[in-house]
Amino acid sequence: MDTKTDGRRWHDMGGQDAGPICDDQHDFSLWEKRVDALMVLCSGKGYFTVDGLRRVLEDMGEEAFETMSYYERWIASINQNLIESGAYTTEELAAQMAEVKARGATYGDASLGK
Amino acid sequence: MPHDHHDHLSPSGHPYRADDDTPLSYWQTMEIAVRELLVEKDITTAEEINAQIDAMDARSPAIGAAVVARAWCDPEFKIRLLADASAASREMGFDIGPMHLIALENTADTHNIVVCTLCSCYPRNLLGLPPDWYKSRAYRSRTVKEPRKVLSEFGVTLPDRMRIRVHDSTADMRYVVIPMRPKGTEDLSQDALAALVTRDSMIGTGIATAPTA
Amino acid sequence: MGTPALANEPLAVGTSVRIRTLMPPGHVRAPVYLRGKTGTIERAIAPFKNPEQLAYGLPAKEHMLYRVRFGTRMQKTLTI
Repeated sequence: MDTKTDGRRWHDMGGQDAGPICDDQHDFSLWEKRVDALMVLCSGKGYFTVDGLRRVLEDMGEEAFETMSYYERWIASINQNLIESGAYTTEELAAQMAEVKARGATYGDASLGK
Repeated sequence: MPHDHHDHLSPSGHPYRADDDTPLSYWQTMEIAVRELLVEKDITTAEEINAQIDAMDARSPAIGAAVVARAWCDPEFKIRLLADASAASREMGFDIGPMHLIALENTADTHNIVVCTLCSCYPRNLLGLPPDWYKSRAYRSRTVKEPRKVLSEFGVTLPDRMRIRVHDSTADMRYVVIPMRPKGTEDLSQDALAALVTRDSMIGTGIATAPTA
Repeated sequence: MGTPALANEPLAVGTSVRIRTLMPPGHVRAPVYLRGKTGTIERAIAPFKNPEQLAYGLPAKEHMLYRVRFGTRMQKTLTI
């Protein structure tokens, strides 16, 4: 956790100075919608709560916020929460990720079109 | 079959991103692996995941706009909406799930704007997924501090005499703004009124569109 | 950082409340810009389990959730 010396955590942004608001919006790709779905389903099934999702996102720190996209941070947090809940182990995840990566160089190839 | 959207436009009018051809990233690898592990362990199924994606795709600002338009046309409904916006939305047949919702009415002297300073809480089960700017550092930081300036960046200039209420959705409640009904819309049908209600007007960073002559 | 668990009546609308200035680390849902500030209860909503405990997968006590209004000309409303 990167808590500044005054006690304010990085994600606690209200009232800070910041630059102009960019009119950023993009439609979500399939993989992002899948991440979103996994959050809703797994929290609905009791593996973790939206509070746990937020807590891990906060603990990932400010650099993650600056360098990773929204759903990249979400899948990282969902995964952390699932491991903490015992849904699967780090070892199982590692093996599965290696298998996925070996399928091909694009999302389409690696996701078996499912 | 691969989820092929190449020829279609998404509900918001933007082209889908052709992600099947994108180079596989570490986080995409994780998403695929996590999803497959969960299916392998019977925690979920591909069908359930696709159904949830479809349910979320079906949620869009058009839903919120329909609720607002009804509130403009039906004073009794508006009273119910202001008392319990979750119940009123469900009454219209919308599946908002377990979301707790409060409706905030803009008036001649009060303009409401919603933000989540701590994360990105948003009434997604009514309006669909939030825009990137809502989740940005700039919006989350500045809206509670200088809402009038933020509004001007969205092209909304309010008279000085108007009060601005900023609502920080930090807990289990979600908020939807009921924008003011534009002038000259007395003869419009409820559906035509709904078409004037923009997503931004339901967050508070916009106002409803004036009717075309 | 939420209101203490209530055994009795919820706080009445209009009650003055001050957000504590404690600054712990961890998952805290009272934002810093409001700590030490005084507001008034706008409404009591319903009891909800404390997100600060749910975040760690711990059993969580229910606290009453309130909407609290701060400020005069520019009003901020925080749900705590």
